[in-house]
Amino acid sequence: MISYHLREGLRNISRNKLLAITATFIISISMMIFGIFLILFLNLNHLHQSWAERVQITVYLKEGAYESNLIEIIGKEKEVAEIFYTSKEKALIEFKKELGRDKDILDSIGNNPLPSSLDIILKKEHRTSESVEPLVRTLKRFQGVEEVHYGENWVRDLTALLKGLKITGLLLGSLLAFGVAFIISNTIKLTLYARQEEIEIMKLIGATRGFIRGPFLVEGALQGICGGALSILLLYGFYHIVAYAINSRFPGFHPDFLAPLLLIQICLSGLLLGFLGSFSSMERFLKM
Amino acid sequence: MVEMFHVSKYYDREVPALEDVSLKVDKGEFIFITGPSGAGKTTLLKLLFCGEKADAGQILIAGWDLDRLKKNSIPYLRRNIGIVFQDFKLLPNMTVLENIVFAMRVVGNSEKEIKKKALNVLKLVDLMHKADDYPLHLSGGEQQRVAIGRAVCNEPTILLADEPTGNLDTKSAVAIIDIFKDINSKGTTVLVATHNENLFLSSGRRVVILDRGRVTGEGLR
Ligand SMILES: Nc1ncnc2c1ncn2[C@@H]1O[C@H](COP(=O)(O)OP(=O)(O)OP(=O)(O)O)[C@@H](O)[C@H]1O
Ligand SMILES: [Mg+2]
Repeated sequence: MISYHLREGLRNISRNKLLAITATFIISISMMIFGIFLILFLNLNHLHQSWAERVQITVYLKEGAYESNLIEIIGKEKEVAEIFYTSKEKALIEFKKELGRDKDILDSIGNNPLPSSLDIILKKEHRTSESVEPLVRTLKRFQGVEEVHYGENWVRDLTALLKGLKITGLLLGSLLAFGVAFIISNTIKLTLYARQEEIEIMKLIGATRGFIRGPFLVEGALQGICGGALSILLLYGFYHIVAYAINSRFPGFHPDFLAPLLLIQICLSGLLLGFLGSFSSMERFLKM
Repeated sequence: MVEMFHVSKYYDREVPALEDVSLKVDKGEFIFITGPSGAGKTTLLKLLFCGEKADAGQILIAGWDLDRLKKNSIPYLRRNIGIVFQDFKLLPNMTVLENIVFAMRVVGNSEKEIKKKALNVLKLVDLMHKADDYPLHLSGGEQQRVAIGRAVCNEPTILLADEPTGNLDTKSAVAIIDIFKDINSKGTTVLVATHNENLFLSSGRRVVILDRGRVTGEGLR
């Protein structure tokens, strides 16, 4: 029975190859657009995470703050693993070391302008952007804290960007998914019209709806999964070109391709969308 | 086998296509339904195979009460009913054999069964020699025989034929009726709708006359 549906589904496709190829191609382009978006998002996310893994929070203290007190309170935060205290004096010595030959500049200032600070090391499981940002907000509220540094502006920008991208991705994804289902439902409609007579006869002979539907569902699902697979090939080509360009400008930065599981999911979602698109066409057609 | 009680059918018109029609057909009977054009013959057959729904009355057929029949049971009802049309309704891109095999496959016969039965069906309608021809290369009579083969290949208990000889010459028409007789003699109930009196004159069969949607006469011919 399955072999019947498969054979008939393939026959539907081979009857109108050009239509099927065009549809598959358009589907693969839509899915590729989403794939490009996904690659961009995942790489930025990865960048963000790898930053978070190395993150170190530095808390600068106000003049005359009680560091031992602060160390105790901060130590109670669940994310914190270790705290290192740097006194004003030590900060100055280190700064001088960094300046090397130019350290004389500091002598002319006289007073030590550097604040004392606490370097906070996070527990491994909390080295994520999701943990860092709330912690920083808490730290800022403590008495005696002048400033909290935990990375640069671009990191904060990236966090915001990622949030925006997530929403855009959802919208884009659902829009393209809808588009793919629509394309497939339309190509199926055309084969349905081509086989109208046959379907009419099948109904009169006593074919069930499921039996009549089968080949068309196969046709839609095949187009969907082929579109998905083709989009992966296109994506891979695209990825190579872009990765090469990035690498020649920023050596050492290797953008990731989509994980195998994700590739399988892309194919399967193609299959599912094809199935749904075909199903919706059939429903309307069988009602007539 | 078929029972109709006070059945009426109105399309969106003032004149009913069928009005208060009651009819009983026994198992194994061979009956003709006749009447002028527009009398409601086609409509009556359509009601029997659920191609249309009656607006009033009750229809029992092959043990099914059509009023209570669920939509997804219609295919199973139709497997008990073979249908033959005036215009054959064959699939032009399939050979004679394929048209018949198609009908058997559609209702879920195994390929083994299909192979075995298909040849018997071709023998029954005398088309063994045309098995691999395409319908459009056949005469009208031959095409109708393919259609009959397709209608009976799943061994229905009832055969409905709507003007089966309408497009055929006399000789072919006689051959078609002979096949119906053959099928009927094996126990299948046969209903033929036709306005062609020659098909049933001196046939000894029961004839029901319809006119403007009403049964106006009935008797043996
Ligand atoms: N689908 C339809 N929609 C509206 N009216 C219809 C429809 N089918 C049939 N009718 C009307 O119902 C009446 C009966 O038609 P029907 O086709 O049953 O007659 P018939 O006896 O088969 O005629 P003929 O011998 O010409 O085939 C006619 O008046 C016809 O115009
Ligand atoms: Mg008619």
